[in-house]
Amino acid sequence: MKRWLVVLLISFSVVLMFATTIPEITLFCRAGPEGDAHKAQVEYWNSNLAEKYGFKVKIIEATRADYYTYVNNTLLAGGKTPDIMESFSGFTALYGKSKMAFDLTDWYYDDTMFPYDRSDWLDISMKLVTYNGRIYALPTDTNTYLLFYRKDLIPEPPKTWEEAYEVAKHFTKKHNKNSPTMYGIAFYGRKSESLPMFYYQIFRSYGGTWWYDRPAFDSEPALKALKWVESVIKDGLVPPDISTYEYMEILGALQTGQIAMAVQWDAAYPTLKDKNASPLVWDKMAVAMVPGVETPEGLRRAQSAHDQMLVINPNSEFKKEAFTFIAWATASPEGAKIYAMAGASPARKSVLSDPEVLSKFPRFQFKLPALDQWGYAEPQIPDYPEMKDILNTYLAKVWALELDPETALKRANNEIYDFLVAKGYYK
Amino acid sequence: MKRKRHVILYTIAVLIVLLANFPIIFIVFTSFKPLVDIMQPSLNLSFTPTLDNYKALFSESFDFGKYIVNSIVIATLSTVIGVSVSIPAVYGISRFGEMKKGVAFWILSIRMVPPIVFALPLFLILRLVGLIDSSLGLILVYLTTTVPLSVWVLNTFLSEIPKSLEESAMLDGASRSRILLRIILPLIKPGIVAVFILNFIFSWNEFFFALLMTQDKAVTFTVGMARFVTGYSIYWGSIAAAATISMVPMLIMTILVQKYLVRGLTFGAVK
Amino acid sequence: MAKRDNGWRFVIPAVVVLAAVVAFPFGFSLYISFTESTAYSIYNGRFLLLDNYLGLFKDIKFWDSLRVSSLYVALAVGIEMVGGFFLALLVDSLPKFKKLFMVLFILPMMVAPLVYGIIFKLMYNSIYGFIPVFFRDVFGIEITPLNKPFAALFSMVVVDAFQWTSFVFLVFFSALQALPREPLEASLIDGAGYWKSVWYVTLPLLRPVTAVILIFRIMDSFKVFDQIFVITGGGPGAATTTMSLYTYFLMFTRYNFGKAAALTIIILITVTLITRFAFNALYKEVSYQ
Repeated sequence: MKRWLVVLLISFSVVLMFATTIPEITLFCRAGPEGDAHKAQVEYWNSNLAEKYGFKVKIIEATRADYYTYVNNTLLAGGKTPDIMESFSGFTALYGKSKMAFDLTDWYYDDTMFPYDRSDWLDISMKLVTYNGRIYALPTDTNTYLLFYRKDLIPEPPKTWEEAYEVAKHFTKKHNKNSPTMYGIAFYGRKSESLPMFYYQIFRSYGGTWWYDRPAFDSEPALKALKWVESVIKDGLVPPDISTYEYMEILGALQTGQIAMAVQWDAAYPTLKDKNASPLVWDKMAVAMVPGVETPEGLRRAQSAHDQMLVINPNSEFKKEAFTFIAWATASPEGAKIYAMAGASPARKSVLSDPEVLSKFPRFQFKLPALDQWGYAEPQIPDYPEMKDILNTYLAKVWALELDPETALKRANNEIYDFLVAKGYYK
Repeated sequence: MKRKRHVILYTIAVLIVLLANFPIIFIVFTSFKPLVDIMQPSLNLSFTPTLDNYKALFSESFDFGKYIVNSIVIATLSTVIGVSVSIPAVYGISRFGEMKKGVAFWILSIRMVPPIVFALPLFLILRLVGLIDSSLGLILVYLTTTVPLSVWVLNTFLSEIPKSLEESAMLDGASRSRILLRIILPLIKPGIVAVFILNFIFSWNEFFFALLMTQDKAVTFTVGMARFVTGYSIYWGSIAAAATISMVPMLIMTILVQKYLVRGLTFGAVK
Repeated sequence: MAKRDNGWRFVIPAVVVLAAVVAFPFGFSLYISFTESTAYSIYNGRFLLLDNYLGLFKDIKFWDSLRVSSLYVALAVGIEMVGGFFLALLVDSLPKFKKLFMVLFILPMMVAPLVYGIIFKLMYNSIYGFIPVFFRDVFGIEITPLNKPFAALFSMVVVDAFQWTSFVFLVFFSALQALPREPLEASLIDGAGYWKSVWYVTLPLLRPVTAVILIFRIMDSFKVFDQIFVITGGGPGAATTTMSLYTYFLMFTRYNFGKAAALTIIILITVTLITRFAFNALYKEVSYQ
């Protein structure tokens, strides 16, 4: 009897001993360039740093379809996992007000928790993760729009929207029978997160801003910008199913070699330069800054900026570990560099000007100054999703040529104003 | 003269068959086309067929085995549970007149609403009990469709069976449950088979809730297919391959059990 | 046996299951439809009584989505009912291989709606999609299925028709098999033409079946989501934003849960009314048999 007891006790403790394995936190991110880059980081961490910091990281890559819906639903619904989720800076204000993401401010300013250079961020990157002075995420990518164009067909990329129109016309088969490409330009058209952001690019370069004392979508610059879009679509310089075009479709169109230019997120660059992914165009693509507008003071441009960011689940049991990891991943020289070399674009100035990174991804050369000089962020208010959707609905109608720009903008502006008043933004 | 008419009829029939099944034929062909050829703005009727698209399904980024297993498990269990629960329910509804119309209509009305109605509440509930991204969670969600459908179809089968059969059994002293098991069940077998197939097809093909409620462990084949719209490219070839594979079990099942389908889908409304 | 056996125990399992996965979410939706429920205050939003509903009725997007849904349902169901019926007649009049053709015709409905969405997304693409390419290379004309609002809506109806005409066909075909042959034969012998006989003899006999299929197709086509979401995402403009898509946008893009819940209640009432109407008509017919 006694012997059995002893055996039992020993085996129990042995089991316990092996049972206390090193804790593992989960990182939930989007499949694609960011997912692959995060994978590289996680592999490095687990092989080299897990021992030192005392925990491992497990990565879950989720499909792009409906990705943010899933993230926000998960954060909304509570629950302890995942510990870290990749999200998008358009939601920062929402997270701030609803406390859907954990407030990182205190740990961020604590040197023991965050022993990295706080001034190395791109200025705009930090702004995008802050709400009411509190920090709710750490930026892992800062993305902007670039003009992708066929360097074998277009020696000098257009600098203004008028020039872009002419170039596009030249490369549209309908207007120029000898055009090597079917359509001159492609851009966003599907009613999605990116449509207003694309519109903002043009809107800002014409000098538009969001607020005077009311939303200013019915201003001159807003109208000029939208009129440009209308003319391009009306004259058939873009594929006719432009209203279904989102990131994937633009990418696909460029890859067929039938499009001469496109306004697209810079994250598409590695894919387009990859021989296997884009066999027809990989050696013919180049990038430039998005066209701007001539003013008496010089060429005015705008660079839309948004972050992919990492938030911490407020119900996570491993918040400290999660923060340690995301701090390392986003801000440490080695973490951010791994991320960049794997094909994503971290928000750290030092990494974006690192010679090794630059030789592999030359586009960072002008991305950095472009963002510094012309970068802008969207309004950071909690009800932004709904406000954006109101504008989106009207933009989609103009894209479909159902509504003229003037009416669309007027209605959108009034509706947004009423909405904001109802929510109490104007006292 | 009759001969000529038949030739015309058959020709029309064959043409329509080809037209109706064109999308299916198209996607099967596409699954063997290299990606470059798929994305060309010209009719590439001649291309070198390749198995690359199918190979990609077994690569490390696409967990083919896991997705198929999940789909099979979830489809089977949601169907089995749904049908098992529905059989006694239908017996109760059709044999105990008072509740007939009310309960039947309540159950049917569930089928009327777009699934999105339940999306957020179900998500929140599943999250609360920790069933997100689990096969069990998705099975429970699918019950909202399998139960009403089974009840509706089986009800019409049951109404064809004369009550006299049961009455004589009851006179002999058999209990209601006994009657259900021994007498009724064998008689409505075709209906059960039809309902089983219908529900299985539904669960296998379902996309919206699977996308919403799973992230990693319980991902089904349909959601897996959507993953080929990746951050790199729309891998049409692999999507086509995945779609082709997903159609195969359904098509085989159809051919094997078309007899039962005819009976089942006509809900006995045809006398 | 004095005790009245209500038979509730048979129904209990189903009721329990449904109560859990249906009644509770439903009650929840109903509750938040009366509040200002958003992402940062799901359960405890301001109590708004009917503001969400009124907001919807004043919102042109709601009426647009209602119009789109109705148009979609009318077109799709119309095409499917007529197409399916004629197909059934066709296969029924074949002297041999009826079963074979029947199987071949019902294959389309076994494919997942999402797969159809993917197939047609590929076929409709204006640069490399099969349909524009085919018409361009063979006829030299540009067809763009997704360009203009109405064309896009119709293109989506086509997707629906490709899948569900088979279902209508199956039911009509099975019904035709079970019909007595004498009335039709008598009519033909009497000298009435084939089509006249069909109109006056066959169709009336099929009325109950027609009603049933009609109800099911109406219910199901109101629910459509997967294909439209994948191919057009609701566009161009709002031309293919059906009520279910609009609900999705309210819920998961605007995070206005209150309004979305109100919309789902409205959808439920609408569809219930339509089918209740048809349901009563059906029972009246059946009771005459």
